[in-house]
Amino acid sequence: MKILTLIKLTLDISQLKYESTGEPLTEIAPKKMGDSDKCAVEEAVRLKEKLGAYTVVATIGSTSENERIIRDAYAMGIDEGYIVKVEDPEILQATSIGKIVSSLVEKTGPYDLIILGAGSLDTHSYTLGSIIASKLNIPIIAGVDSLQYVDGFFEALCIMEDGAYTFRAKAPLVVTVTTEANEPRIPTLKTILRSKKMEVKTLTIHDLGVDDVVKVDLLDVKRYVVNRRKILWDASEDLEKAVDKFIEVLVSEGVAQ
Amino acid sequence: MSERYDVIIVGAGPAGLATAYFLVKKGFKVIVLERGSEPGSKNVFGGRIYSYVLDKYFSGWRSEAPVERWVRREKLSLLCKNDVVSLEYEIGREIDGYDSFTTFLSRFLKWMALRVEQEGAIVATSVRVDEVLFDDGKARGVRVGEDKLEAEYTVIAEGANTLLLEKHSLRDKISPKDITIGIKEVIKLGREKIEERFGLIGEEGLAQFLLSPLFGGGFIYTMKDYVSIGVVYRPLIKDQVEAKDVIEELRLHPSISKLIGDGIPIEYSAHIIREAGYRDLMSKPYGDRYLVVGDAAGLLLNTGFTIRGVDLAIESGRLAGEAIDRISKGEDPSIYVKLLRESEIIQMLKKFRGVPEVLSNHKIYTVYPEIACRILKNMYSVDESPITLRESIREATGSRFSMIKFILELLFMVKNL
Amino acid sequence: MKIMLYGESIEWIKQARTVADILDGETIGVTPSRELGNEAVKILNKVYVFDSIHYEPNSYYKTIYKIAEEVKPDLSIFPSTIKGRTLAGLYAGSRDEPVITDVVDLRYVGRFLEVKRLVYGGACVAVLRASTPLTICISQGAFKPSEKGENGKIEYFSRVDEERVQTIFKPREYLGIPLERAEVVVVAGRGFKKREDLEMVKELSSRLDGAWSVTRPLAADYGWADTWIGISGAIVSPRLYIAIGVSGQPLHMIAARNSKTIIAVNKDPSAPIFEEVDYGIIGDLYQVIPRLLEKIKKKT
Repeated sequence: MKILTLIKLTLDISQLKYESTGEPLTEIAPKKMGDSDKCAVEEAVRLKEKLGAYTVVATIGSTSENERIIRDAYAMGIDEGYIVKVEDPEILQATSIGKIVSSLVEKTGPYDLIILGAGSLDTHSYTLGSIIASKLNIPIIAGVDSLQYVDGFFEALCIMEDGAYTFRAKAPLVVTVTTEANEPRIPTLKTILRSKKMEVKTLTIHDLGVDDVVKVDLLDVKRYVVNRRKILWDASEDLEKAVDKFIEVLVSEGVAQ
Repeated sequence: MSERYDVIIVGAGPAGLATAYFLVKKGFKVIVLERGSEPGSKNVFGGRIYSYVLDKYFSGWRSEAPVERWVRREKLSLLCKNDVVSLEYEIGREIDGYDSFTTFLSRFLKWMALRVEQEGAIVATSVRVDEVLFDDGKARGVRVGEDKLEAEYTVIAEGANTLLLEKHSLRDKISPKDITIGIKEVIKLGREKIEERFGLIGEEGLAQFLLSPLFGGGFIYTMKDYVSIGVVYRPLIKDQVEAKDVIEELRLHPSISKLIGDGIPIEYSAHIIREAGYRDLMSKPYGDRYLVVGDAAGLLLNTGFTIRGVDLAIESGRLAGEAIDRISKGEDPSIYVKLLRESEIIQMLKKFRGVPEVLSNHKIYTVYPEIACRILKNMYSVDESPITLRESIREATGSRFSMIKFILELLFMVKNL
Repeated sequence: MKIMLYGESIEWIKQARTVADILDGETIGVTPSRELGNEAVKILNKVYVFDSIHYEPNSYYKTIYKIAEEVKPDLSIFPSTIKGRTLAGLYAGSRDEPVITDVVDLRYVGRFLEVKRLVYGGACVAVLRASTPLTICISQGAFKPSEKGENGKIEYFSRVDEERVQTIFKPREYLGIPLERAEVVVVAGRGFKKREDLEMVKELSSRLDGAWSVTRPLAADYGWADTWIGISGAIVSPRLYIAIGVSGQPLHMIAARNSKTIIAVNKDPSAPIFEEVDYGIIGDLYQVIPRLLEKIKKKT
């Protein structure tokens, strides 16, 4: 079995700061491997340990931090890694990323399983896995909370708004996992040292036969400003007043008498 | 674990990386273990590094190191409640390059780590060393979780938080009176505003030291787009604001807030500083097959306003490297201390050994700024009866007071910072 | 302009119709439910209904793709739910057209569409320029429901099977009003110390004829509930959203932001949620909520 894990360098949005004009200071925000991507790496490594799968990881980007997250994946147990060099990957159209990945699959595959995080923390589109599946014309199971491999089938549990879905499918398959899927391991010294010595291969989009990428035509990004009334009462000063005000709101909204 | 190294260095701060750099150049097989996710991620640092040490050992650094600005303007300011008295020195154009520069330590250390790796050492991050493995008092490596890593020599470069040294009873827990807290904030202001407001052109930078009864000693460094402001906070000063508010207090001072008030704080950090200086130096920073370098050994110079550590750390790394080389050739481990004693570092620490005491008498923060402001206020207040300098000083201090002596005393305090 | 929309609830279809109103487009709906199709046809120009026992993205998207080959839409709209996003990605990928999720507004500027979408977990709004054909996902509540009606036609379409995937579905047992339809939603956050304390939330929601839920950590980490409100859980837009002990992380707020009125109780005055409320009570929920319940009980 051969598995490809896709990981993305994402902004730690909890530490995002803004210009006074509201523009996010993305260049100084700390970046890391996406949380659900880390779960995808963990899932791949577990399949390696259980079934002897060969594991490959890939990311798209052009900074030294991309290499860092590949090594982080090595330290968790991945066997081989690629960086596809593209400037500003965050403003690529998702469909362009889909094309790059499907070419990568052709060049380095075939893979039985392509696994990635369900949604990245920054754009959280939840669409990349499905775009890849459609490009490769293989099925997808998206938003997986628990993944098993039973009798030649991948069996995935997905908890959704209306209930619990269990999907079963054979390879080849695309799976996107949520952060519920597992608890990613913390690398040991031994695996970190191993990761330092492993080669990180780089590819350009031309190596992959992709001649053009389409960028999103981004006009503006600003902090989301909420226009709400923001009327506050301090209950630690006057509990009775605060509770009465609460009830007034319930009454004026028509949900209490 | 089968892998064996000549030297394990615990901590990828300036001292640890420098030790690695000099050792790997001498042909040792070296590994640096850092608990943060990147070199420098656990460091809090004001922002200035002195060039001389890099000139000596890192060829080509001026073009490749992540320099923010070259310091051309040095300023000392005494902050009163509303007024400020400043003394400024502008360095003339230097052909061979300036004596110091501002930088973000995290970026600088990333660069140092890169140089170290280019020389052939390994710098492994997110590795937390749990203990040094001792065999009959002889260090033979470290334990990280379940893994053991062996080496001929172990170098402890863990910084001010001496967890390993304390664990192995190699050093006492520092007494609270010898601790200060370095608090720093990085503020985004933009290149244009910085150059306009601080009067800087191109790559020129400003380093400013502050004295104030409100927070003690502090600093301002200009980066390209950012301003780094900080305070060396002494919890023992009476009537002082709380640590968490101290930066806010500094930012709100009228003379500071007009410069950076509209900037956006993007980073806040606080870190322990061992302040005892020469007194704090480990008497025996070595043992059988191990050495202690940098902050962990007390080798940093807290001058009261800022922490001068990077150049000393690099120098101490060089000495540690040389010591290990000589120990491996059969010399006694005490050679390390001998090398340190002969070095500039100890001389400098000795020279500044009085500083902590001077600083802890607080006069420098509480009295001097007030006096300076009063003197100048009297002098420059114009009313019907003009006042002479002598009268102004007498009025401000109520006694005989030498302005020259006062200025010299202050300059002594900030010299070599 | 032809606008095709894939809907799973009538509330969402009405909101998607608003997008069609903005762009002055013809509306063609697609839905896997006959019941919903019968309702949708009163709002849309045409509705394709395909029969399905339950959701399976691979067969669904192929079906929708086949319908699109007939319809030739300029703009295709899906819900910003996990199902909707998955389908939108598959569909747009197979049609080789761009897909933009979390759309909150759009309009024509010259020949181009100017699309506003949420990014960074809802902390920011990005404005993008796009051209058709295009696929977008819109969140429940991002647009006001359209009041326009149509007398459309229904066409039954047979579902394209996907033999490679087998599905077993266990529907959620709803107790009370489903979250997405509730007029009042009471949500508990990490300010709650014990699972039993959620009884306060349940009681308050039932007294207000609303539904209750929790934030993600309470469900995913503590296991105190099966679902949560958040970008990865349920997205709600009630008349009144009552957040108790909720700090207000962007990934949670994005899912509640379209609520008409938001009131929060939190003891930390600097909690980010107070930036996004109409009314806020700074105080310990263990004091405020019991007292509130007492007073409400007394009144009724």
